[in-house]
Amino acid sequence: MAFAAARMDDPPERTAGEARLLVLAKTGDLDAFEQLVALHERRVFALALRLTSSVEDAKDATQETFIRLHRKIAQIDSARGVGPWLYSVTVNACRDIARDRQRSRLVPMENWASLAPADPVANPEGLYADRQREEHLRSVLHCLPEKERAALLLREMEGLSTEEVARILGNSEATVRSQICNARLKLRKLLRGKL
Amino acid sequence: MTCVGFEDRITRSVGGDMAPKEAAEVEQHLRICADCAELARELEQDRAWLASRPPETAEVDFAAMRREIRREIARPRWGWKWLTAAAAILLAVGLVTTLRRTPHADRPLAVTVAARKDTVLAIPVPEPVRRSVRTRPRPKVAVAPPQLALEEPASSVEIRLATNDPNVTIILVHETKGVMQ
Repeated sequence: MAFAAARMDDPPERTAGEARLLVLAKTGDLDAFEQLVALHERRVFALALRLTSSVEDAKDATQETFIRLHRKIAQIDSARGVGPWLYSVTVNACRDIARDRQRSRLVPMENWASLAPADPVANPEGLYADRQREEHLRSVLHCLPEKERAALLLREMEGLSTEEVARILGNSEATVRSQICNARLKLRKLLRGKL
Repeated sequence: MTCVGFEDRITRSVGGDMAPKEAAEVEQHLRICADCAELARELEQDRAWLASRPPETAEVDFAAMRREIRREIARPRWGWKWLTAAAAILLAVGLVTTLRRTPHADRPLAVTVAARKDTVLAIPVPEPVRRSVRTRPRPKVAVAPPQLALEEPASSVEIRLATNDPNVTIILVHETKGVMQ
């Protein structure tokens, strides 16, 4: 499965096409909007999956994110692109879904089995090891409190700056820095079985 | 065991969220403290590992998801403004209907209290403020008189109990129909 190996808020050279699609989508062009969705859907889904640890919740969050994008598309700054906005809405959609469902965050085994790493290697042993690592990472990430997990994912896995994460999560930089520090220390202990 | 006060600073320094001067202090400390250096190394290792993880995915039909999104956005939406307006109209209609149906809304009420056998106190209640809502003229409906067959009154035993108050007598009436005398 091919992946857009870029962040949602990539530099302008990559997003030149996106800017054009955004302008067209703002005029009500649904085909352009659909192409815009296709550009970001995997990233949004991957982030939602790491935040929720549930395939169904991640699908719902992805769908909800793009529906909200369509509603608010006129307000999006074409110069900045949809990237930062999508991060923020994905995190909020995941929070809303978790709050609405109020259920166990553990994913049923059949869902775990259907998950695959983004770029599986041909070698089956490597694939197995990769899956094991992913499952371990998922279970470890899920031991973190929701806010710390979101901050860590955006900072370390999406490669955003603390300032950007703070803006997306609607917190102060100091709060986000503290959340990331706590998450790093907990993650270190969890990964080494010290918790 | 890391040094007191350094754990937080080391954690921040790993992500580069630190002023250069403070980062230099941490760097200097790491050169002389093996435990803290170990902590920094592990944190850096975790950070690199997380950053290297590819975005994970599942067997998701993204094309179907896009179709669903398109269907959803094509559906006409009832915004909050419309819903609020509709609720206000419904409330107003309900209120008017309720007021119109209130029985004897403009009739003065009286509360009667029987204090003694031959005395009735009538406590007048002030006239209610007339509402501007007009009462709908009630349609005349022909009602057939009820066909009730009255039974013979049952024989009864009356027991009179005198009280300390000469004006008050307690009368117990006990029906005896069907009871063996």
